[in-house]
Amino acid sequence: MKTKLHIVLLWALVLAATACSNPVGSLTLTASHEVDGTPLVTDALRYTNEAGNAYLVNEVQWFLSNLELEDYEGNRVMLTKTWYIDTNLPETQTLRVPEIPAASYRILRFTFGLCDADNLSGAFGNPPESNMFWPDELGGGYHYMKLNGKYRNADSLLAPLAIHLGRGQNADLTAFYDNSFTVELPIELDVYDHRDYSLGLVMNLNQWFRTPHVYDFNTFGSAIMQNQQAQTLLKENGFDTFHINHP
Amino acid sequence: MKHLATIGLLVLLALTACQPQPEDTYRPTPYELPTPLFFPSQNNIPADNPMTEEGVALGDQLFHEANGCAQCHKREYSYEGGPGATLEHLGTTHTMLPLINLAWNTTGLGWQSQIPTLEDMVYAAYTDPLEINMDTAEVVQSLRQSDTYPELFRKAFGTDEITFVRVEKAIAQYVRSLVFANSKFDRYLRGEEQLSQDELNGYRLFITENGADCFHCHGGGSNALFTTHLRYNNGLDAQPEGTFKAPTLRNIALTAPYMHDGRFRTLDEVIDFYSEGVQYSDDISPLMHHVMEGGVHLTPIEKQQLKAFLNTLTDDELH
Repeated sequence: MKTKLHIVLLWALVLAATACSNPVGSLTLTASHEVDGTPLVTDALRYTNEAGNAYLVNEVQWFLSNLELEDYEGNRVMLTKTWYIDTNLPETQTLRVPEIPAASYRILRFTFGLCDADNLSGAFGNPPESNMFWPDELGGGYHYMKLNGKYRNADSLLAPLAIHLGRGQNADLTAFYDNSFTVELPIELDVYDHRDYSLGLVMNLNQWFRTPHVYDFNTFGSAIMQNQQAQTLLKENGFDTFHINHP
Repeated sequence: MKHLATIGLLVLLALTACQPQPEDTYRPTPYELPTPLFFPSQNNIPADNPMTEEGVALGDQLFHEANGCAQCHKREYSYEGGPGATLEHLGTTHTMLPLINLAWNTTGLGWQSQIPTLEDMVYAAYTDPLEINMDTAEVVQSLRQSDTYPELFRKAFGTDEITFVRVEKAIAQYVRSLVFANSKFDRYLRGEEQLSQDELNGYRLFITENGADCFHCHGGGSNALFTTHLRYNNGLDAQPEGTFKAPTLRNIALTAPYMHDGRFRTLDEVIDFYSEGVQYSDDISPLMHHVMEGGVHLTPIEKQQLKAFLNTLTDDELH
């Protein structure tokens, strides 16, 4: 009889706990890329950065991690540990979170790239993520981003453009630096009933090359994986590269 | 009443006798495809062609038939044709690609990824006028007349009815079983053997952007296939013919001639090309970071070191 009572009490506790955290909505996040307000068109030489470099983009492939919402009380809800986004693969551009607790959320927060604790070589066994690997000799883990394209150089030739961000190194490859950074975006998301809510996460490519540093492709050239100065400038430019699109 | 029970028992026995006996039941043995260290967990085994010991054995036999795939795809050359397999010799429009570790190729086969699956590749190879060039009906007819094949097909597929689709499936299973991951470099990764200083220096060149910058297309590190299986324009010509698949560099020392047209006869020629022979074109891959300088510009010693590393990718299992 005593055991039965315990079981009933346990069930009551479970039900009460479930009722308190009852998810009421779902969330669909869509990642997109633009250049100063215009949706990205790949393979077309139609963009100019702040330094005046004409450029085209073939593909943008990148990771964000520790994506979370924060409500007005400071409560945080983890949406996903990692999200790989690839302009060649439409299926990677949408993330659906099936359960979101009811709350008024004011911040969307994520790490651009993978922070050191999560950036482990071999963590992704399969393509496309595995093709983002960052050599152990250069610090290991994965590229945070590959932005591949071409730019018209000082000789008016289309030179390779490879904005490859990841762990940095010193000159003799004996010390490594975490170049990931946290992005916080203000949002107005009131989740209060059983429906699918949506948010758009937009990367404005020209912002990578604008503020606070004007980044000139002719200065840094095509290969920057081993150029911590370039990595630092792009990291410092990266904070305001993203904005939210409320559909 | 007693007679009735006896008759019932006899009828039951007669009915049971008509049922297939356990030994006739089609029960192939599942084939355990190994997944070596740092290989992907996802493979391209189709749901309608699971690998079985019997299917792989049948594919092995078909592959090595006198008029089959092994005429050109030789084990000692990583299932390529060897140094003599030039376009002039083969009469084909492209050189061969190695048939190893293809269970993990999920982006199509052939230099231009034009063949969706290994099953399709078997059909293409048999029917291409420049390759085996046989009528599939003739292939099937010939196998049906064999003393041994009907039984092998029955073991592999549960029926001795031979069709070309089953030929495709069996050979595809065999090719998927060609897994090679026991080179000196693999043993280094597993902590079983040390690389020489030259080999280590060569690996560092391979895996760094300011070195030979090979890894974006050819993997390495945690991409142990040594290829992305994607296509690139690598700057062979100023007027490029298009993009071509980056082949695996496993066993690369055995797979001359090199490039889709076999233009390079030795690894030294390949390294010289990437060092100072890369041709600019508007369509060159953005991953060819050093094209504006004509290549990565390795010193003679660095070229030797890079070659020393590439030689560590030769698999002992092929000998």
